Amino acid sequence: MTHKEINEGNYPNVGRDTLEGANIGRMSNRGRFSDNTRQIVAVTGIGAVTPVGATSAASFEAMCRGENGIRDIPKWKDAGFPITVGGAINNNDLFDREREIADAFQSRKAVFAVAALDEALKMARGKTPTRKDSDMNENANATPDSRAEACREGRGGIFMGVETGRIDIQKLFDMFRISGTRKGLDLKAFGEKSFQYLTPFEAVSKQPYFIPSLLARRFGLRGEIRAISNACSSANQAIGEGFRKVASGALDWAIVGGADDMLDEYMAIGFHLLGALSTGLPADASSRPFDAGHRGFVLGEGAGMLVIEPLERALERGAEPLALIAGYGSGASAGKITETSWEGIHQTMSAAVSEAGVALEDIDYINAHGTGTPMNDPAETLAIKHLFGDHAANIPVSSTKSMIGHLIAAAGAVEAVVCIESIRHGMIHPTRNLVRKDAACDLDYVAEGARRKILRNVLSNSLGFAGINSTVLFQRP
Amino acid sequence: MSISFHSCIRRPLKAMDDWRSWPDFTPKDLKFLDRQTALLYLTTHDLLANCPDLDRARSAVHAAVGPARTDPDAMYRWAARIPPDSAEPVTQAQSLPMIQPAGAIGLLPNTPLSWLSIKLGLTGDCGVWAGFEDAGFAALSAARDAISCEAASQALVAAVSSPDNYFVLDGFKRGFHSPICAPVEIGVALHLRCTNSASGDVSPRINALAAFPSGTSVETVLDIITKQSLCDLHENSASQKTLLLTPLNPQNAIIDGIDGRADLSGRIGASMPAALPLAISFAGQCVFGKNPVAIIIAAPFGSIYAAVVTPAPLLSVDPKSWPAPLSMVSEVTSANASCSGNKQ
Repeated sequence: MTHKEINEGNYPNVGRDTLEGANIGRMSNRGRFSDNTRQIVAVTGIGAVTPVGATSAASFEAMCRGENGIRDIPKWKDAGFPITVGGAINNNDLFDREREIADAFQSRKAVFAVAALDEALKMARGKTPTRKDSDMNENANATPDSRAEACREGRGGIFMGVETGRIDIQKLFDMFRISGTRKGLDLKAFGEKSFQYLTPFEAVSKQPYFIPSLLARRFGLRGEIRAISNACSSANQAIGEGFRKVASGALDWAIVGGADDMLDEYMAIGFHLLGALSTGLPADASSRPFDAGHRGFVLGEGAGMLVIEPLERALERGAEPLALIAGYGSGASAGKITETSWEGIHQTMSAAVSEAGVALEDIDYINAHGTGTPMNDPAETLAIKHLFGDHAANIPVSSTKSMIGHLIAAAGAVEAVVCIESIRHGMIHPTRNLVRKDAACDLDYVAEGARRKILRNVLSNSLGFAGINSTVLFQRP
Repeated sequence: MSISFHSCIRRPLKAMDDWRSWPDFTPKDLKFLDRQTALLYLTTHDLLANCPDLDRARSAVHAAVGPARTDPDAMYRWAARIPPDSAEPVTQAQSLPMIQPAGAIGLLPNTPLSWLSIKLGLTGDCGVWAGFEDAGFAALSAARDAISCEAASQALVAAVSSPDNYFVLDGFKRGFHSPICAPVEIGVALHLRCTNSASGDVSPRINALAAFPSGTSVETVLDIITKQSLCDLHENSASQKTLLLTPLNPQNAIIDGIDGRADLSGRIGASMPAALPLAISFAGQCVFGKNPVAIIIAAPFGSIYAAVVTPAPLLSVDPKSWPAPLSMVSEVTSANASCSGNKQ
């Protein structure tokens, strides 16, 4: 089975029976690659925690219904903040389940990441009996260690998009207060006295690598640990880097994704002063990608995790390939520090399509970055039109952020889960709040509601702040 | 495929004025910069001066940085609602501008890389890897992957260690790092390219790059990097070698039992994200004849990173002219308390 065959649709019975005599897992037609040792990369597990659902399935179903996950943030409203809404996760069950992590590390994104990976690992377990399989089948309370059986054998790694954590604003104030003077901060006193306000766990948990390290420890995983911090592009790039490792044969499995919790005062005010956030609209109407009334993005929180491995390995151990990852492009577009350029995302979409070796006409859906800022939406639209030409009008495009806000370092991960669910179910979720298109946004943004369509190749775009972009191409297995 | 490299090391910034006078930056730009970003930019700028033919659109650039920056004084003033020119608190609404738009941008660690793209025209495959020693390894590994999967023709790795951050200082204060190594401000950039023995390229090679979980024995590490590099690196091997270590965990067993090592961090301090790229850069200056250099780094939270640097196959140097590796490192690092500039 080659990528060419996959792209031509000759994949109706992919399964163990088709393995015999076939060169499964080796790409004999691999886009621009002549190296026939490259592996076909399959996604065998997905998990997500979003403002509209505590699992990938629940989130996708809610998105297909066009549900809103943007809510008022009462403490911000009460404090008179100019920003009063966000894609908040108010799931007490989730925090109760992971109370130990929530309390010890004071990190919401750690809770989200653990929950999302737990779901992904359960899905990736496969059917082939393993050492602890009988235990797991009979014991609903399987330990996190046993759930990770699919990622126990071989060389592996965790690649996550995460940003540096922020300290709780009240704690931050207390830290500064004891070493501050009317003239400003006494840095010497700050160094000597202020750190007592953070526990060692809290201090460590703010480091980007903490989240993947925590996941490794929690689920008993051993291998490379990577934290990529490229703002809005972080998770997409983590997926891409993990994909490269598995495709090259350097790793037998990888856990890729991202987690973030951007709903803190410092980030909200900072982005507000940059003019990037939506203001002055009711919560359920505040995120309006591609709409003439778009005013900016809405901060959100959540996590998405994927288990990826060579297709050959997945089939051998009886795991279901949910989708393939076939291409990845990343790049920096030299512009201005707060600017989004269409050339940058054009470059990464082009690279992903080229790596997958598919024709532009074979792209059936684009999950747009679609933030809802007057700068992003026209630039991304223009890039799609430039790359796809006349075919651009035939490609459905939708924005997940219209329902859950912008999850920054986790955005690409949740949107990857959405792309995979879209491929699995042949369903594209709508873009919420799109009433009247922006004059510069003239593509098919799936405004009317969820749409059924068989999807062969799907692009997921991420445009990072300050011009760091990436695109991942997902494919039907 | 073999990866050859040349490198550039950048001394610490003496003062912010050093770079504020650079003509590449406008006053508006400067609001977004911090010491880490400035050092990363200047190091990469220096390296590119020696790479006039580099295709900046097709070369990957992967950066290794520490945690995102914040301006503690600005944060304090915002939290306490005390404007810079006043001693009296103001209302919350009046305090908002104190944080400045740059505050949010500065919290996102990708901005150092963005400046490389904006000011130096680097637009290829890219990534920012944030952390401590792990970040340097990740950036190198990603750059190598970008070349090997043909996403880029060449690659730059820019790594910077900057202790000017309360998370970093806090880590040292709490003893997460070796008490014998103070954090050091240093930048290093590597230019990697795919090469072969027929190319005439006489630059040193990176012939192995590997990560190991904590507790891996020295023998296992040497076994694996020996297989990767095809250089016998074991203690009883006939071939000569030099081991460069950064013993951030002095109690870690991996440090014991290795003779003839050059303790890099003991001489220049803990170089955190820059540790592995820096060790490779130094090793590139120590490899002569058939003498490979193995680098083993034990990071604060347990992972072990290793690399092997070998000379170019065509390079032939009279062994009598070899400087002793240890004195070479001492020489470099003594100059490197202030870290001399471009070494290549």
